[in-house]
Amino acid sequence: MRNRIERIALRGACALALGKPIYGGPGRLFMAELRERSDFNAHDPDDTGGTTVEPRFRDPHRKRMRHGDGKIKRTRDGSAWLASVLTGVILAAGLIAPSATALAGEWPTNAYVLQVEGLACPYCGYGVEKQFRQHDGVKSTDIDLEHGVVIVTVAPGTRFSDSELERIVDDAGFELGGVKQRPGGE
Amino acid sequence: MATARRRPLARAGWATLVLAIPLVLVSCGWFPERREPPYAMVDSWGGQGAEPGRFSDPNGIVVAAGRVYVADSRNHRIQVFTRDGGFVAQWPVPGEGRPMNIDAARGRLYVADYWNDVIRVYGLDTGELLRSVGGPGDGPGRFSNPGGVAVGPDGHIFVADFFNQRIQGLTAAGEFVRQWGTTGEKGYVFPGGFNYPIDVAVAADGMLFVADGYNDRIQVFGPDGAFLRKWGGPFAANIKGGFFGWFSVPTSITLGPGNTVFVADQENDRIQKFTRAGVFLTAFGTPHAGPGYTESAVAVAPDGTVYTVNLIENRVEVWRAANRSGR
Repeated sequence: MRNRIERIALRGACALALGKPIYGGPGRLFMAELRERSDFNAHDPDDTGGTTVEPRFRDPHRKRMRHGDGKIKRTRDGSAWLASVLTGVILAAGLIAPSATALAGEWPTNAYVLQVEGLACPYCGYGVEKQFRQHDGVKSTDIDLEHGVVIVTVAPGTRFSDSELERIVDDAGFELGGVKQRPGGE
Repeated sequence: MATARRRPLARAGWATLVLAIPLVLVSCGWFPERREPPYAMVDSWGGQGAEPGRFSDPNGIVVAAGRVYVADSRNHRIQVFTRDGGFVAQWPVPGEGRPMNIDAARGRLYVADYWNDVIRVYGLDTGELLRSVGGPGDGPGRFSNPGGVAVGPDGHIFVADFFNQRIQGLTAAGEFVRQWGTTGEKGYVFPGGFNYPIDVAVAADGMLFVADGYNDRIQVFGPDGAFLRKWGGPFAANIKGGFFGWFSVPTSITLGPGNTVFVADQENDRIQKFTRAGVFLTAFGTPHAGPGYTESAVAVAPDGTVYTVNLIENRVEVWRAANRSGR
């Protein structure tokens, strides 16, 4: 979901900057979308020339209109602009709100969310979880691979200092990269 | 002036060195070619979930007595299937256990319970939990996050004692016999040292194969416990990579028919097949982009069919050699 929002926001930003909606985002997101789009590099067999330049990526918001001179020209419908403005608003909201706060809604509020490298290997990640489960007040542990974080859900009133968090992660053979969330948004 | 004269010589020297290194590596057999075609996936089942037939982090698999047994780690259970994926039973692993690599022998299923530092022993037919071997600690017969277990021809139990950096050999009753590696001390280069060993396999003749996880290599020991050989990258000296015959965290090892060895090369998202001498034969697996890995454990049926668990996609995959067909 978050990726989708980011993608929409990026498109919106590009739309505002370039004055037209485009498809794709930076890096892998961009390439992944290229692979998915069946019309990547496809050319319109009906479009035999004219005054317009065939875009590298066909824009589905564009409508082909045949003008009086017989040439096909392209214009844009209103919904595309509306989508651009809306996505721009989403982007602005994303810039105002810290990204950590935006992510926090996906995790339990009564949890520590800890950045630790190397969690994709279960033998590593489980080790970190196990260290936390040995402490009083820890209700459950989980791993969010997409964000590379350990989620430690705790009972009300249970708190760990930064040094305690570092030591527990260190005991599992890892290094604490940061604390992305604390219980109750502390 | 002297410096200027030396430069061409120095450049030539460096160029020779740069050209020579790959030649040496190739000549030493560190970039082998396939000797067999890759296997093809012919079936799969599962998906994320807690219902019967679904998985949450499958980390171990074994085929025995016409059944497929899967360690369903985050669901704290063992699931049993027919060889074509029909659900048969599920057995809980107590104490919110996290079962990892498993083995079957003598009518028993042996489960490395990473969470509770014990080896669980189940009746292979009944699913009854018969006993638990070991417990937390670093003394003889104790474990710290056991990652894998194998049973020898005489019933002895071998355990990859992950955080204790050692392999332990126990009697069938669970009494300590011997260990390989130094407790709590990592060894990176030399034989007999381990860097988070994850799984073990034992041949009928007593040869012991160890997936030396973070050393990215396999180590082999004779029935008498003596070191025999190691392989995985240049000098098998803690050098990871994605070339054929190299590893990036081997997490499961098992023996196949015809004196073959199959290794789940987790961070390369593939299974690699070798001879017992360490000669690379072929590799196959499900590629994956993004966080997480696919092929994390491997089992081989007597007919050579390979079963793997795909960790990130939470499913069992069935593979056959390219020249085979039919179920």
